[in-house]
Amino acid sequence: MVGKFHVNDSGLGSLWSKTVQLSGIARGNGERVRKYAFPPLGSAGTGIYIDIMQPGLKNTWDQAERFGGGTAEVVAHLAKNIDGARKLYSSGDRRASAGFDALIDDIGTPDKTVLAGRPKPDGRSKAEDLGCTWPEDPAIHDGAPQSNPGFKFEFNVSTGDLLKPTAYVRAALAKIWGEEDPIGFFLKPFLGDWDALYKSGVEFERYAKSFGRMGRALGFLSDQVPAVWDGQASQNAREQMIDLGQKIAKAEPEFAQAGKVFKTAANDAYDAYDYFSGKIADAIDLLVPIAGEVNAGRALSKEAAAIVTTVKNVHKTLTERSAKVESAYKVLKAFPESLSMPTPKINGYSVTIGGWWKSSKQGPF
Amino acid sequence: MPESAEDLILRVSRRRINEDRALNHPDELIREVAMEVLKGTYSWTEAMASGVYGPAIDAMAAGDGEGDPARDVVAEAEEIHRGMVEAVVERGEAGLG
Repeated sequence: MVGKFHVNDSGLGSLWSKTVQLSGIARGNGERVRKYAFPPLGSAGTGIYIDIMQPGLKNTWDQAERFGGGTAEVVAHLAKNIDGARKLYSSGDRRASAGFDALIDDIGTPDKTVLAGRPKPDGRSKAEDLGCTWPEDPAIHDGAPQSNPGFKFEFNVSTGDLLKPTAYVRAALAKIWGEEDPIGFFLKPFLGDWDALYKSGVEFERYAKSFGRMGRALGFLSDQVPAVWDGQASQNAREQMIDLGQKIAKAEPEFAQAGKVFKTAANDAYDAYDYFSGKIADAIDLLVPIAGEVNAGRALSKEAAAIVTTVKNVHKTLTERSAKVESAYKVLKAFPESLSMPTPKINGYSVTIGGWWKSSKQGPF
Repeated sequence: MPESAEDLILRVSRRRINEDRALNHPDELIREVAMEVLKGTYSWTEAMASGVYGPAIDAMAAGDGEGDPARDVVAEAEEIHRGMVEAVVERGEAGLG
């Protein structure tokens, strides 16, 4: 006998309840992502820029679904088995007294894999440690605007209504720019619900933040396990918590980055749209008083020639900027489209979970 | 930063055109709009959205039918503009006559 074996029933109960909470948080994250993170981006019509982002958004949403669902399932399973162990001890099942000496050896055995580098289990840890203030999962107060009503309004005005009463101005612009639909050519690519994409970005950042906190909580819980529960099963549970915590730690920055990409894409759309619509409005403003001369094909005064040349140069600038915007979106789409996170699965923990009940000679201790 | 020749040409041309519309256009509504544009009260773009001025502006933009609709106004304008830039580079605003 190397030391004193102990199982702290209230501590195990606390461990179980905290694990159940974690499972609930993982499930909640999944539900929130399902509800808010994959909105219909085409509610205001679809343009090529938002279309470029769509597959990446769908992929991130799928990954978040799988990762969140898998994590919730594994943690729920973990909670179930912790509860099973606690009930077994409470029932006084005689299996609980089997092989105590061997179990005591287990607790001091440095693990070769996931336990390496972890703090050595501390017998002075108290069960109350599990009842430490549990960080709430506050709503994210993102500083950036999550909605820009002016965007959709302005868009609709510029592309739909602006030139309705002035068809001849549009005709003059079309003549100078060589575009059949001079306004639509530059502004229609921005169609789409960018506010919704921005909100999706916020949701994925929130998702990452919440899971990150959950991963750290699992690490904390894993360090408390030896204080309330000795033995092989305890070690299995601890390994599983650490392993899952590490998986989550890897996933957190990936989902956060995806969220940032969607927010950036939306903000860039707002900025680019402001630029394009502003330039077009300026060009129209210049053109209006001489549109009659342009449409009629009259010999131009030198002042009118200066205006026509300036308006033509705006077209050149906008064409160059369009190409840059499109390539920027193609760069942005790459990350979320290639995001691939391994999904935590119960059968991925066959040693710690399956073996827990089926292979461990000592049972769930 | 000193004003470039192109900017100077645009500024002067724009002012002259608006002054011309404010003083000489046959439609009184257009003269009103051009005067307000010169004062900076609103822009032509904003005036187009008005139910009062919009139709008048569109009528002005239709052209008077005198001319050749097939004329390459852009090439012609660029040619004239090149000469204006040379004149301004050489003589400053006086080059605009």
